[in-house]
Amino acid sequence: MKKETMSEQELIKGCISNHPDSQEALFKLFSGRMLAVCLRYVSNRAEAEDILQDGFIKVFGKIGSFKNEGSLEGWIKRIMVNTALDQLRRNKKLLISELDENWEAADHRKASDSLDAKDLMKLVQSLPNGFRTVFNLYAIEGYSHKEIGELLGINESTSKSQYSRARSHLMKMLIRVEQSEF
Amino acid sequence: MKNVTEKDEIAELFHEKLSGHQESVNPAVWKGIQTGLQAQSAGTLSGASTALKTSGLVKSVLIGGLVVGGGLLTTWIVINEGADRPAMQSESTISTPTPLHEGSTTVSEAVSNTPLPTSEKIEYQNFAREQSFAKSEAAPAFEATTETGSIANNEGSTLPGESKQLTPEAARPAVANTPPSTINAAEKANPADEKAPAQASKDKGKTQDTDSQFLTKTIPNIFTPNGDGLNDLFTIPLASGMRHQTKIFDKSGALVAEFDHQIEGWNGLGQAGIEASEGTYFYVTFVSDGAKTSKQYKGTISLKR
Repeated sequence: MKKETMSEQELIKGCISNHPDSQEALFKLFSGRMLAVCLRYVSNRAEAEDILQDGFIKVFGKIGSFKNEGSLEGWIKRIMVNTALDQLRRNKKLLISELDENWEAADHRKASDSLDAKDLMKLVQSLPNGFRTVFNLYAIEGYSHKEIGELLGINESTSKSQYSRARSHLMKMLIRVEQSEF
Repeated sequence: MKNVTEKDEIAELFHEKLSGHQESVNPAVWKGIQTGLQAQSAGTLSGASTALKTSGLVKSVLIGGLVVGGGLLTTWIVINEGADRPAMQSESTISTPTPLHEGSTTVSEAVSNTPLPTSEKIEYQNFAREQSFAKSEAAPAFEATTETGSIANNEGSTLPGESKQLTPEAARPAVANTPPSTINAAEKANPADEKAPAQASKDKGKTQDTDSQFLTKTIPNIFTPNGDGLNDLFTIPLASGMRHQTKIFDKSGALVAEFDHQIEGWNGLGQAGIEASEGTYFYVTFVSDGAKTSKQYKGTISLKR
């Protein structure tokens, strides 16, 4: 554990001095998890890779300002999430309030019987953007509704209602998947 | 799978399973990052060889596809709607028959005087293919142009795998029939015709024409309009006696800005004087000596602040 922390410190140092090997090592260490984060915000893989790329360029540019207050992974993840939100905003996909009214949960009867991360990813990705963003931020990233409201420029109550709708849709889908198992 | 009806359990389930989830990453992403970092730290952008965001761009051209490319195409068609002259040569490109004139005639007018939908289509396809090619090589240069003749000369060259990929994704049947990469053909035809910076030869980004006639170096693919005095403008490195007219489009094909040789470069502000957001934009540049020689350059420019 201690050793790991040390090497992470070394990595950070290396990245601050723009050492290519350190940068690559840092990328290798976190890119898989960070791509998974990006893929929860945009379901299109190419777009997610764009975000990953932009995000890591930001990470390397700003790593000097990383203070060892939280985990490095958490810090990188925040940058990824913010980059993803920027991207959604830029593409005007972050229209939270009135959107998605007529949305119907996709049929997920074909999901495998044991729901693993992959299946859950698919469920999350099948949510419309507005729901999905709030659900990701709240349930998976662990932001509060207040923070989400500030982040997305919506009311706290909107965040709550979006979340509960996302949740009920996911629940329906999970139940459907469950039923299809019998 | 029981008790999923409890509120917290949904969040817990997804949090537990997904917060540490990993996906396998396309190696092209790392290459793109390296390029971006090199371009930033070098301070000089002309040396940056790889267009940023290759992977995503290619795929968004292919997959999201017509939103991007189609948007660009649409823009061109819109430009052309003002013209009443009929098409003159179906095989020529925009740039060739439309030299810039002294004084009043701007390039955009020149464009609108040349309504050649067929060639535009080809241009778009070439553009898309350039991107595909770039992806497969991971060392693209987008300033390659489509010159008259190069399209016709293409017949023999191949672009493994990529045209196949284009067809279903782009849902544009003509793509499959068009001859493959201009760049490839040009590269093969004129390997020694290279006078641009050393990087460029690696990039396969050249055509039959000597670029040094028009440009002193490769058009940059990234700039950082953050006021730090470094690379704050997107500039076209014109050779002496040349002029240019450049349009910047966003990914949806909307015109973001246009500028010419009378100003130093694009400062990253959009039409309403609002800062354009970070990301990748397309540029189309007409470089001309004001008489009969002109050339079109296209590519992507990444805006970072």
